[in-house]
Amino acid sequence: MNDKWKETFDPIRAESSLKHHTKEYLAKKVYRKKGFLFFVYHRFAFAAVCLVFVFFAGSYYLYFFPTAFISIDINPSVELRINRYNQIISVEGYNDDGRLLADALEVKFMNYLDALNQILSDQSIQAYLSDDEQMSLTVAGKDQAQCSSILQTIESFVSNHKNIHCHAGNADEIHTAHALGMSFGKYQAFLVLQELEPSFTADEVKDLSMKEIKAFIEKYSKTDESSPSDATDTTEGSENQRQRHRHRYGQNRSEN
Amino acid sequence: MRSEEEANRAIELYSDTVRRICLLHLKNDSDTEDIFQTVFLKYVLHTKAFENEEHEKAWIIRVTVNACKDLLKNFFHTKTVPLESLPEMALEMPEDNRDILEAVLSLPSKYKDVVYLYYYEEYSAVEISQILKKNVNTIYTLLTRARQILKVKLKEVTDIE
Repeated sequence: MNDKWKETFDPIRAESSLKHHTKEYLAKKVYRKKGFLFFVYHRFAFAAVCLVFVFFAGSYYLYFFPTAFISIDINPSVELRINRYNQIISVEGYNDDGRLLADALEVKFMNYLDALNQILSDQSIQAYLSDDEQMSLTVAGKDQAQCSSILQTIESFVSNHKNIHCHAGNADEIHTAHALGMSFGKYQAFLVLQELEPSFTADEVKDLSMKEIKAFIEKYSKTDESSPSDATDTTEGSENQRQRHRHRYGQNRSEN
Repeated sequence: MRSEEEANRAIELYSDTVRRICLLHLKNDSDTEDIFQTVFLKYVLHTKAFENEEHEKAWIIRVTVNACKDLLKNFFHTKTVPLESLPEMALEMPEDNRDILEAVLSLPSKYKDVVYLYYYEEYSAVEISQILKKNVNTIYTLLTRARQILKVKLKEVTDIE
């Protein structure tokens, strides 16, 4: 009888179309899907890497892009570069004393006010200040609101120092100042002096101390002392700032 | 997961067995195709190694039987599936063989697998009990009752004992 069963069931075979459809189904459901998922996974991984890169690049840019500068000029000329979070991201010296001071300072990533406090506490700066030198703190940057805030804060901070004077600088002149090899704070003083006496050149001025520049400004501005005072407005344009600085230098001179 | 080559090998090797079990339980090609897809998809996703080809074949049979039962249990399926006649290949059989096939197909579902596995695949009752995960005595009982039914349906059935 087993032969009968064999004869009965042997002809029952899977149709080739059935096998083909099953193979196609598996290829589509499992194997090609895997390929697709693999493709999607790689695309997703690439996009994730790009996002991470953009995130870190963006963070780096936000953190390490300077939005404000404080130029500190006495005899050493240094510039503090400040990010949008009011932290020092670099210190640059613009003369020999300035470079020595910049190398000695450990103010990176410090709040600008703490950094300024440390600079004012530095022995060499203390020596200059006690020697009746004139320190100029000039604030400039693209972020006007931040610069105004910084200027107000440091004005308040140094209000007890009669020979430290704060100014608002012009951000557009920073590059020109650097090209001439001086801090933009000293450059602003140079512009005031040059306006009074056009024969002065940047090379002549850049190695002068602020006290010496102020002495020249005092000397050449005797006929210009009738200008009205405007000590509170620190956000105007370059020309107004220059006028204000000229007046301030004159005012400081008369105070001293 | 098994490779596409492994899947294709299994399809070539076991699709006739799967097709026969489907014939016992299902009444249309669409359901048979569904079972093929289910069985071989499970095979592809089954990562545990088989001891040998016999073990692999027994696994395929068990999965096919269970897949057929699951399909038939589906309420929606029982209400919607149209009936189809015997496949063409069965219609071309000699009358004696077709009678046997029709007699087996007319058996209650619980006897079909046991009869097929015992008489055609030539598994022992013990092996069938392992494949179907049933008690050996249950297999003997099912075989006895199936024989009795077939005896009525086929004059030759006495020869199968």
